[in-house]
Amino acid sequence: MEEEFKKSLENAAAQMRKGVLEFAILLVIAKRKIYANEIISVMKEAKLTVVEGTIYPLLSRLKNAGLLDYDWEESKAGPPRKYYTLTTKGQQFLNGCEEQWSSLEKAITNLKK
Amino acid sequence: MEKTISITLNNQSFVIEEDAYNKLSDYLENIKAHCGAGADAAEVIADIENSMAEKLKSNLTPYKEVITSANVDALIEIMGTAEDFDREVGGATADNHAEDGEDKVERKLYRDMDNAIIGGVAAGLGNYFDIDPVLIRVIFIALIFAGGSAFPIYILLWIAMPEAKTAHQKLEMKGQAPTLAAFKNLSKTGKKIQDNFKSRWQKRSALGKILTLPAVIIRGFFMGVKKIWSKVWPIIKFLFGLGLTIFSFVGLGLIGVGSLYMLLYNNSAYQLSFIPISELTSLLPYTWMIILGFLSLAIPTALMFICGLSLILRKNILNLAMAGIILGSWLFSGIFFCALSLRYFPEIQHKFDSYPLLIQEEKAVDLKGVKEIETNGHIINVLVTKSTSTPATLSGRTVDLNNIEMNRVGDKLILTQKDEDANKICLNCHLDQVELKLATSSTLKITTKNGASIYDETAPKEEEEEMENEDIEEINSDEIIPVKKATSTTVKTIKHTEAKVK
Repeated sequence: MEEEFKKSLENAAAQMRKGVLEFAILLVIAKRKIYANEIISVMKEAKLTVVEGTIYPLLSRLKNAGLLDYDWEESKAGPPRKYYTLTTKGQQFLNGCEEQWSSLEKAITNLKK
Repeated sequence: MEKTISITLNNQSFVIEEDAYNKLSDYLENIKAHCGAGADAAEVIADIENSMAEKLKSNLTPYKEVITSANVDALIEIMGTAEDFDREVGGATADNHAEDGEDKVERKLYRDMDNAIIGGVAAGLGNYFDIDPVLIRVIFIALIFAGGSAFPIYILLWIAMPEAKTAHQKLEMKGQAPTLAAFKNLSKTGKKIQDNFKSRWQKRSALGKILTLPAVIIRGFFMGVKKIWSKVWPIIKFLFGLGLTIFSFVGLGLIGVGSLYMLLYNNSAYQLSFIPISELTSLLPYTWMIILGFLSLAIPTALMFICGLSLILRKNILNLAMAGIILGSWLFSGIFFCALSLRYFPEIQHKFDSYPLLIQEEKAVDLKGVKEIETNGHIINVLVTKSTSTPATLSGRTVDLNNIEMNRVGDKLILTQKDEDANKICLNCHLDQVELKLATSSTLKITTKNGASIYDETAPKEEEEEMENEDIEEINSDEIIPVKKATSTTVKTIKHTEAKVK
């Protein structure tokens, strides 16, 4: 029973994280030009841990949706890196997300009262 | 000590330990299976490989050059497995078919070393035909007793069948689609089989040991042979490749130059005068035949060159599509060339037979009252035969004979080479030698001018040899630019001339 409970809690947490992951990534990219490795470390600092491999399919999906753009930049450490930026469409999308987020936050706060 | 493998990841090369390599390659296969197919998936995988390359590079220092298993473990921890991807974002593409490993694809023939007794051939065949390998082993054993044909068949199959090494190949061998679930299954069963050959041997019962002993001995023998062969084979391949490359390169050059020559000089009667070119051009689709002939010779030669290069560089240069195109054009040109040749063969033969430049002739020379002979021209050779009774003759190709003028001035016979082509510049004009044959019976004073030579069969041996050497030099230097020599006004009068004969 204990096991089952733990599992479903984990699942719920994962679902929530899943929901905000895109939003979080867009927020990080909105601040500055950034590449995947840095995105991960910023997210880790914010205690939103994800394995790195998760990022790539997401970035690719966002890029194909026209929300992100990237250019190759040389790096001292090794091969060139893809630095991502937000497109105007991405900015609009992010604004929409932020609205949704604050209304969601409000709704939850109201419910918690 | 560990065996290492050299790999590339995102255009960067890494040296990696073998077990780390297996881990990494299984991981990547797994990710690929998760991402599915298509351009998006390829991009994601490229991104992941890129990032992995960067991280692996950061593990290396001048004192640590090799990626270890621990490095790969740490890397996978950071990158996350396909299961992690699923949990965090929900598999975008692969979920739909990741459920069942039963997804069938066409089976491929590999040697199955996981279930091998000797070389995994029977196990591999069993996988391929989806039957119990024991059945195939029984057939092999039966074939040993029925004339021993099992041995060569087994060895051929061993050489021809590649070993299933990666997880992906192992799935192909069993006809399973490379899905996430299939990989999971495989790694589960893989752990079970991972106990190697030795421990499987130890686990066998005494009877089992006795029964499989011959197989084990054979296996040991072949492993030894394989080891030696694997050392010697690359050397043989390299040398063969080198020979092939040089040979075909020279061949291509010769074929090319020959064909170009035949094409570019086809309107001159004075080039390659042993072939009736100008006659043939009017008769045949000459240009086409030369081009087709060139292609049907040059394509296989070029192919040999490519094969040679592939052997030297140990890299397959030719892909299937290219090979198909090459083979197709070769067949095309070969067939057309043969068809044209057959079609025009009678005419060609006739032209060669009736080609005036090839007809030989022998003219009698009247020496009555002649005391002195003077020859003028490099193509006129004088041969003094040992025989005393042969009449004097002048022999050679009709065209060359017509080119020689005979004049009597008193008791002197003058043979002069007319140079009607004196004004034509040509690099490969071909004039054959004309021979004036004289019997020793007549007493004559012979004078030659312009590089002609005298062969005196009656002269003492050494002298003759000496003379011949000089003559050869003479003839060679003349042949290169015969016309020029004749046109120049300062004609050298060469004298190894006066050979008086009794």
